Amino acid sequence: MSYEEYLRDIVLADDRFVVLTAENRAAIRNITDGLNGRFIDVGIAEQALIGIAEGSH
Amino acid sequence: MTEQLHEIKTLPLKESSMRVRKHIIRMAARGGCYVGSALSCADILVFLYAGFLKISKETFREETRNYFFLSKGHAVPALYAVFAEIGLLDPERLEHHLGTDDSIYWHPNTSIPGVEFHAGSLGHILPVAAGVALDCAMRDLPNRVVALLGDGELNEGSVWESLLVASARRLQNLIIVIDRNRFQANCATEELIPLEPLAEKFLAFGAAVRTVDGHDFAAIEKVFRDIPFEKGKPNVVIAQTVRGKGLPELENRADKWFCNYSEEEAERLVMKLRG
Repeated sequence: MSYEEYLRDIVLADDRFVVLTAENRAAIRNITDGLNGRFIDVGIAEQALIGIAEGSH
Repeated sequence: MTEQLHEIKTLPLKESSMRVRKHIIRMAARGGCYVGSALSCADILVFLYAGFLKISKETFREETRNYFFLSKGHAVPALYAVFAEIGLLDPERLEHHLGTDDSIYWHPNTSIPGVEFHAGSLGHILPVAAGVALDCAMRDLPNRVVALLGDGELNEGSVWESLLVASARRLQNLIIVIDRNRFQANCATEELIPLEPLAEKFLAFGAAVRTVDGHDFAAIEKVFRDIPFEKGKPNVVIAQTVRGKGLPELENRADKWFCNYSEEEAERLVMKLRG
C-alpha cells in the first residue's frame, strides 16, 4: 500500500481527519480525489500550516 | 457573577473600561506587566466581551460562541481584567499576578477558563485563528473568529502567510483586529520597521479593511455591525489606539511598555486615570 493510499484510508475512515499540505504534493498528488473536500493545500507556507493544523483540528 | 455579566451589558462600556484599566495598573505592581500595551487594547476587549463574542461565564464553552485569540499575549492583563468583569475570573486572583500559587502570568495560558489558546511568541496566533475559521467554514458553522494582533507583530512572516491562506479560502468569518498603537517594545514602529501604508498592505493580501478609533465604543460597534465587510474576504479592523491610554503620563511613550510599580505608585496612578 502506498503512503497516499494509506493516508486516504485514514481520512475516509474518520471524518475528523483532514489532509493538509504546504504544496508538497509529490507523494500525494492523486489524493484529492474522493476526500470530499477534506484536503487543504496552504501553498508554500509551512509556518502557517502548523498553526492552521492546530486551529482546525 | 450573573449580576456582573448583566452589569457590563447595561452600564456604559466606559465605566467597565475604567474598572479594567484599574486592574491593569494594579497588575503593574508586584513584579510588573506590559501596562502600555494592555491599556491600548483594553477598550477593544471590553467591547468584544460585552456582547459580540457571545461569551459569558455560562457560555464560554458553548459551541455557539465566537472565538477570541489574543495574539499580543503580553497584553494579557487587559484580557484577565475583562474576564473579571464578566465573571469568568475571580478578581482577587489578579492580586496573585506572577505568584507561584497561581497561573496568572505575563502571557495567556489555557489553564485560565476562557483562554482559547496560549500565546506570547508573536506571529503564531493568526495561523491558529485561521485554522479555527477554516474548520468552522468547512463544517458550515456560523461562528466568527476574532484575533487581536499588535502592530509590531506584523513584522512576522507567519502573519502574512496565514492571511494569504485566509484570502484563498475566502474566510469571511475571520476578523483580524490590529491594535495600531504605533509602538513595538521600546521603539516606534515607523522608526524601526515602517508599516505604512498598512491598510493598503492588507487590501493587497485580499482582506476587506476598516480603520477605526480603537477607543470610541460607538465607532467600534458601527464597524463590527458591518461584518462581513465584503463577501468572501477576511475582515481586518485597524484600530487606531494610544499606548498607555488613560494615563497621560504613560501615553505614547516608547519607554512605557513594561512597567513595574510599587503598590503606592500604582494606587497613585489609579487615581489619575481618566476616561
